[in-house]
Amino acid sequence: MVLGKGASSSLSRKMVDGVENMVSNCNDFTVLVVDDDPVIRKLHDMHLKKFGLRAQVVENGKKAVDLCHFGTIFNLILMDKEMPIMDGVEATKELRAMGVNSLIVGVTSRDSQYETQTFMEAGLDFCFEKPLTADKISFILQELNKKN
Amino acid sequence: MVGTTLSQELKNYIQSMHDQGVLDHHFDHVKALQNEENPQFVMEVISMFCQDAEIGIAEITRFLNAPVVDFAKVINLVHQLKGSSSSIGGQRMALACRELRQASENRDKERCLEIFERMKQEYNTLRGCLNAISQMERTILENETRRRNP
Repeated sequence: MVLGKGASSSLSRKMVDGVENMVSNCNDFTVLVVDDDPVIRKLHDMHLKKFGLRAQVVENGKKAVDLCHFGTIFNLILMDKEMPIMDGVEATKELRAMGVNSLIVGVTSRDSQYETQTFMEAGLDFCFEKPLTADKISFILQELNKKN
Repeated sequence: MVGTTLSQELKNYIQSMHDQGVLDHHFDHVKALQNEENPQFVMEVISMFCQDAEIGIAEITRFLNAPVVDFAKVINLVHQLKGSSSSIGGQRMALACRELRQASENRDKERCLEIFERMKQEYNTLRGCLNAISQMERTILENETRRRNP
């Protein structure tokens, strides 16, 4: 399931033709992975590497907010919803309140439509169910390319 | 060649785990991330998953056996287990976690304990499967290393 502001494109659109272009454009993008599960962090990091992206990884929302507060800029933030210390909803609200205009993509294992909607309303651009796959990352990178 | 036979054996084994519902397509996505630069990726993920799962299960045991169950903590732990088991492709374990979460949200201790037993069984099955895969991956890698460095 993907939720997004105006998301209408199919996940596989331009994937075959556009993958090489996407990879060559990706190398300058900075990515932050925010998730308290080390397995998920490792998987997402590896997925992103396959697209030529290097990610910073942190384990809770507060660390993500602190990084941005101290001036680190990310093109893309992959944000888990449920984390200790500061969850994804709170972190997303704080980042948007700080003026962070990175593409923020929620990644959640929550089944509830209501919970996902609440997460979206915090300021996400898109929200996906875990785990991320190559298709979902392709879609995200297409959106990132559009934004940049 | 021995390596090729083992690779086929591994494929067949993974397929049989799919057929039994122990693994789903998410495991294939994990496997697809492995490459020459990261030949031990699958083994590393399996090791990480099992280590974290065992810690999580021990913690859930502690909380469920307490005189007064802290269901909020149980929910958080189960949520994490659900996420990681789902991501590694352990669909039966992930399903058991979902049910355990529901029972925890209903604050039904008896139901929690019942489902928790089933979740642990699913974890044991999944762990056995993942350990077998890890062992085959290790042997394939060793054979490949020996082939390249005779």
